[in-house]
Amino acid sequence: MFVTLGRVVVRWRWAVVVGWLLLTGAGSVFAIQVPDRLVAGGFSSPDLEAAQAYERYAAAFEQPLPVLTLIVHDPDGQIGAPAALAEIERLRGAVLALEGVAAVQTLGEAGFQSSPSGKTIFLHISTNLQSTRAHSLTAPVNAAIAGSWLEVRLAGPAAYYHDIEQFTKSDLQRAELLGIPFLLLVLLAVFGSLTAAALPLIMGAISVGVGLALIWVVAGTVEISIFALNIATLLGLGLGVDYSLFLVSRYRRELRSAGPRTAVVATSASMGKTIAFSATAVIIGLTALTLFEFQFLRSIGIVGALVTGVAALCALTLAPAILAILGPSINRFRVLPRLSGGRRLWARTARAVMKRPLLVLVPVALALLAFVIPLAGARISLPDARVLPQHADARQAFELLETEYGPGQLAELFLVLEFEDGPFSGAALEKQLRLVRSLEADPRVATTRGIVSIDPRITLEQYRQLYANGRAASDPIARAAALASTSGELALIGITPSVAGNSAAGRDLVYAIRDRVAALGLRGQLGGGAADYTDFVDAVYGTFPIVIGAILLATLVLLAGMFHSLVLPLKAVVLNLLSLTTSFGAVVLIFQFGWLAPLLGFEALGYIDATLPVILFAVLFGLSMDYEVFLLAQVQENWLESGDVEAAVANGLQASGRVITSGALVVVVVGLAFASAEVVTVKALGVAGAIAIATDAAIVRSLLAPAAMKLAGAWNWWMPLPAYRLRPR
Amino acid sequence: MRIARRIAPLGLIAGLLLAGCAPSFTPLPDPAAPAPTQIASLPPIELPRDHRPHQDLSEWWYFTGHLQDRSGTWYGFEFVIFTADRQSLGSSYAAHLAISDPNPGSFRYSERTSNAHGAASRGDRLCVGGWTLDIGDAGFAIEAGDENFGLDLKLRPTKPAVLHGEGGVIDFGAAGWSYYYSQTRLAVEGQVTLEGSERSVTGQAWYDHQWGDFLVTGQGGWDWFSLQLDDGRELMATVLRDADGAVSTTYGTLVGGAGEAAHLDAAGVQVQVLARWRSPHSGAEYPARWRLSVPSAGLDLDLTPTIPDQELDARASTGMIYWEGSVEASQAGQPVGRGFVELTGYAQSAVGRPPGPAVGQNLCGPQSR
Repeated sequence: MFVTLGRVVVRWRWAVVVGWLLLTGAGSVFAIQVPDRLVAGGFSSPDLEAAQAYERYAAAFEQPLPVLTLIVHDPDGQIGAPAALAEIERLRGAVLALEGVAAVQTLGEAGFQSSPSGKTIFLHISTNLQSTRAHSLTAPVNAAIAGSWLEVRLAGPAAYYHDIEQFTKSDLQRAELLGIPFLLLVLLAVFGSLTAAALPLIMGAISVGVGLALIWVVAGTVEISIFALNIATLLGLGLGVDYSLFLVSRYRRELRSAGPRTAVVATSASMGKTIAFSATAVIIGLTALTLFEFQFLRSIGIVGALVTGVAALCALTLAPAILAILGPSINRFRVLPRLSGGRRLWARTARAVMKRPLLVLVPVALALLAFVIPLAGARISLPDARVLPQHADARQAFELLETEYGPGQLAELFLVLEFEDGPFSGAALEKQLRLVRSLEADPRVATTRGIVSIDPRITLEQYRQLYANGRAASDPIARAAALASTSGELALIGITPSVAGNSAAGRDLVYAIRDRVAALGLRGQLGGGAADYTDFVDAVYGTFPIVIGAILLATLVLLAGMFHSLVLPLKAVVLNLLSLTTSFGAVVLIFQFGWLAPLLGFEALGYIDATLPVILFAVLFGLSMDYEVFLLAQVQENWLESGDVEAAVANGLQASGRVITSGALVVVVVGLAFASAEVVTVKALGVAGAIAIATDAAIVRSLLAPAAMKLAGAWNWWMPLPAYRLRPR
Repeated sequence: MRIARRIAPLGLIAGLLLAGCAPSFTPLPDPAAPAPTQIASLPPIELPRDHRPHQDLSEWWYFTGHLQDRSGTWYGFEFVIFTADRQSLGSSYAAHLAISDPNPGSFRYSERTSNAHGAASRGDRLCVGGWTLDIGDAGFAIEAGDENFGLDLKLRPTKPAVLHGEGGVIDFGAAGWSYYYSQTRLAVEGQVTLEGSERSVTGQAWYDHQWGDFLVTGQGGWDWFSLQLDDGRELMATVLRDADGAVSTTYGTLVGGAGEAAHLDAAGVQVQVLARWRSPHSGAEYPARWRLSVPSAGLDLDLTPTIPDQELDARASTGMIYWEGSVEASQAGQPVGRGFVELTGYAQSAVGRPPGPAVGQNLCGPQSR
């Protein structure tokens, strides 16, 4: 099949090149518009209780939930002074006049809750825009409040996603600016010639460009997360360059014994299959992300799979076509002497491993397994504004609010309760009061809001009297509470925690509240803050084992099909898991515990972004498999020729070691370019990718895989189905 | 051992699964309902300290009285500051001002609200929407006004305070409790402004101060009478009605010329409604003339409002519509004194309707509580 493909590409080489150029030219028009089509969020699902709480709230209550919080701070004075209050009213009016703003709390609605220091007050802003577009409100609101003599800041989800979008874009640009020159240097070091070095880079750029254009198309019908941009670039550039690097390396080897066109066909025949299988492995991992119910993860899976497909297609068609046109000119413009000694190094390594396989396998595996220890202390959560750099507006606003009011102020929970006989019946009031007293007696809760949260001194009998006329209570405070917190059969209880929404205590509180609601025989849904985080994390990690299983199974079947063996795929999967364990352990050490934090320029979060292990697993499992497939293909080729496992492994390692290392170096460079990101999640993605691939190429594929294969001997190609069994020629 | 357990087969997956498992959690406490306040354990009222603000659910300072200008014209006045202290919202304040001018038969009233930021409560001064009440050891000063009318008064008690209920505490049962004392006669001097014209006045006022963990829930209501008799005595009477309108309690206090107080139970004070008046504003029907009798003191008084329409629609501030007005007292056809009557709970059906526009919130300066 790949021989035919090679022949077709050689024959229609110009048509293939022109076709790709047209595709790239047309695609670039759409590619540059991609960010406008991407959305923020995607962390919710209709099946989650928190999402159901939002849905019930939105259907029953007039006031939309806030997306922005206007924080007004007077560091030198009293925020309650008449001049400050007048300025706050002016700012409120300016924001309220903006298109897309549904409501801005009045000072009265806000409860006049100046901070304990008396220097800060905040007003919630709600919007009538879709939640995934709410972040677009941040810029106009910022413009409207600019120039105030008070210190004014915007916090809340819309401000957070606005800044995430801005910093993600600039992170991407910086990564490209830093990464591409380094990539060129790596490729020059590998090939020596400018032409050979430029080709993979061009393939990478085309993969990214065409991939982005496809994302633009898909984003017209499916919501795609803004984070997908980074994944697309990381994978497009990394894989586009990687595949071409494998191809060019092999082509130059084939050129030594054949003419250019024959060399291209031979290269396509051998590398084409490897690239197709490798890309399939990566796509399997990424497609598995669509098993999650969250658009954030699904969209990353879709985007990653698309870009990987484009990179593979580019390597299977465009790269051979260009090689066929270039012929021996691939080696032109030599700027660096070709590094010699690589093969000798790999030969020595292979010999050493073959001599003492157990002595290599056990200590190295144990050393890598040591990274499980930090995993035991891993804490998974969703990030808050601290993933943004210190100079980000949303982070400064978040920290100001936290300093002035405590950590739970931006993580308010809300409980929508349903009462058949209405929220004002004696029994309903009694249960609500018992719940509110439970909440307010808990140190994890700062305050509650609702019809029975007016004052702890008010007795049940007094509440019954206050609400004898329901929402028409004569007491203005009770009436205001009733109007804001009831609708038909529903009662709303707002809960401001004293703990951060994404903390372990916040998660604990969510379970405790739901438990208490059930114990009181109440029916309701808890949403907001920690409930959103908890439901997301629980749902993701409820599905994650299924995703892991699906990836492992699909990879095993794929590799079994390619290598006609059950032992090799099993070994490949186990070694891959070892690479990933190392990488995850390193991620915990670096990003949770802060090792290397000053060097990498961030503050330790104290937890790992819940999406990170999932994305890393899906992306890196396939990427690591890439190198395994390349190594095994070389070993199998040798084994089929010689029938000698030891020689096949040694020769395979010798033949593939340099290319695997170079390919890995490419991904490591791209990953480290993303380590320059200001958004900690993006930085973590880059660093983790670099560590995983470096570990995989330098340790797992070079030492563990050969040692394991040597120990397995003839069992490597064990296949219970005789029809599929391979035998050396 | 913990680490070893986690390095079990497929450590990575196990680690991730453990991270995803619902952890055990600390349940919310289930506190018992707070024990009701023991009335007997409340500290006694101490004046002048307790003239000043407290931090209970409800508190008000109530001044009513009659003023006479140099031309001999009498005016009735009411000035009240209410505070509601709620943990969820901080303190909120409301103030009502009313002047009854029987000669043209005009009744003017206005209201103010303030929140914790807009009001100032510094112990000796309460300020709501720019209206002030200064509390001193020897007396009070009121300064309040709207566009066309206002008061600027100094008030000095001429009798000792009278403590109502048990040592100054009223037990409302399930509805709460309240401290309650009155200064039944205060000498007043100052200025009254009407239609922009300021006139010097002197007169007499009645001061009620009530605070505690009670709420005005809008259920039922009360008729409250405060009378200053020309013979130097004062009479306070209260008729409480339940949600159905039935009289639940009647009690009162008779204060002698020297300030000695005699508490009256339902048998000791009787109130009979002689006429009714329907408000053209709220549609509510109020009692409009009364016979108030204290047989033990030889009092059999006819009370007649100086103006029929002394209804205040205060929904924008306290959520209430009530009648509070100046009355004249006569016995056997002879004038024997003046007083004020407060009637609440008669306009319940109107209370549920939307109030008028929000009232002024002129600011008094930063909150200091």
